[in-house]
Amino acid sequence: MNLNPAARRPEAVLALLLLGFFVLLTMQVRRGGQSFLGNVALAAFGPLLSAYDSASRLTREGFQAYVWQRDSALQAERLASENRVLQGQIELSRSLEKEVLSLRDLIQAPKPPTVEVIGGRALTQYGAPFSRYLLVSCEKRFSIPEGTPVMGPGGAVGRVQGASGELHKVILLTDPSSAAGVVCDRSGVKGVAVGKGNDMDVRWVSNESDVRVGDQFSTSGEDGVFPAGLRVGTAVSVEDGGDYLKKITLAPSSQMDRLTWVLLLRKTGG
Amino acid sequence: MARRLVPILLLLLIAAGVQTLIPLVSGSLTIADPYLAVLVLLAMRSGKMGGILWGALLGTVSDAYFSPFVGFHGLAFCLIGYVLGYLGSQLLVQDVLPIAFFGWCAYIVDSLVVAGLYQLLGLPLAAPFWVPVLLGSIITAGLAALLELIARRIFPKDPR
Repeated sequence: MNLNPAARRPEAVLALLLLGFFVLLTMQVRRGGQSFLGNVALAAFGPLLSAYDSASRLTREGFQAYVWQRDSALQAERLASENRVLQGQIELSRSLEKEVLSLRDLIQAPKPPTVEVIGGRALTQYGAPFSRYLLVSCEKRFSIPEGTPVMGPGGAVGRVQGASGELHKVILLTDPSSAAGVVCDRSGVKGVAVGKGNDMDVRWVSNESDVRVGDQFSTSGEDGVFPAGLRVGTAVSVEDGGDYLKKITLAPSSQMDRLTWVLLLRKTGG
Repeated sequence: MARRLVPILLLLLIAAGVQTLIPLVSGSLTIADPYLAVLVLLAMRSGKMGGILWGALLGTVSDAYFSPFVGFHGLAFCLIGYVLGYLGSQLLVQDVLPIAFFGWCAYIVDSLVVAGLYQLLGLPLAAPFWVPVLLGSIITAGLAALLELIARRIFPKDPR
């Protein structure tokens, strides 16, 4: 055991410090607040404490700001993605809405009583600029005969000219080789609607007949193809011709280039 | 002297930085004590007298930071610094695991001494007491090991 006083210095310092701290604590607790030395210690470490507080606050706020910004960026990205999906759905719903409206018009359109109505999907138009054909898909089991009239939401569209399996070729009323007997709904004047490409001419109507711009024309049923009463078009121009016959132009009542669903009117026995 | 001062200041700076970051993880409950971890490293390298003095200084810093009265941690750190200084002069520690163990023990001893002083002076202890102490001791042990790894790189080589 080393009895040299210098060798025992650490223990002496320790004892002194322990005693000092204990006395300091006792005094502080008895006073119920900080002692002078405590205040001195706080004053000495004040700048460090302030720096600590500032650094702590800044770090915490910075971290929170970073988290907030990161969350915001992620949320913005998620919202943008959702937005793209919703835009796509809106586009899809627009086309669906059009289709539903078209189908509704088709269902609500007046149909002749003596025909069997068969639904068909309009696929594509072709033949322009020389002719106007429409491809219609319809189940094979229905066996659609040639000449079967076809109607759309606005009225008559054309007639079936040929079939291959489910596909049926429909010659439109606007085709130059197409003709249908028509009658003016207002005055009862009859004529023949002949296709002209995008619209139709009504031929064989005398200059004395009562036809005006805006008159509606429907099928007369006298051509042996189209049943009577199907809307064909509206007169957009009416002029007296030099050959005693009027020059009447009809705008088709069905939008031929926007057909999605059509009805095939197959004749029944009656 | 200056060769040792720079690493010490660097360690204290790291301790202050860690102390700043701890509330981000644990909220207002600052259960780990990086200054105690620094004391473990410094006391192990400074001997008994150095350990006591570093304990007094770092304990006072801890008190100024976290205690209602100055002296609780000062007293406990002095005691811990003395014991660790003695151990440091007797042992040649080559691994960081013993340092982590000393850090863990130091935190437990510090908590016990402070709790004992609280009881002695008739002050109420916060509850729950043991769960934060055990958690804090584990974190402080990890900090001591981490700081020891850093200290081994920045401190000048021991002539022993």
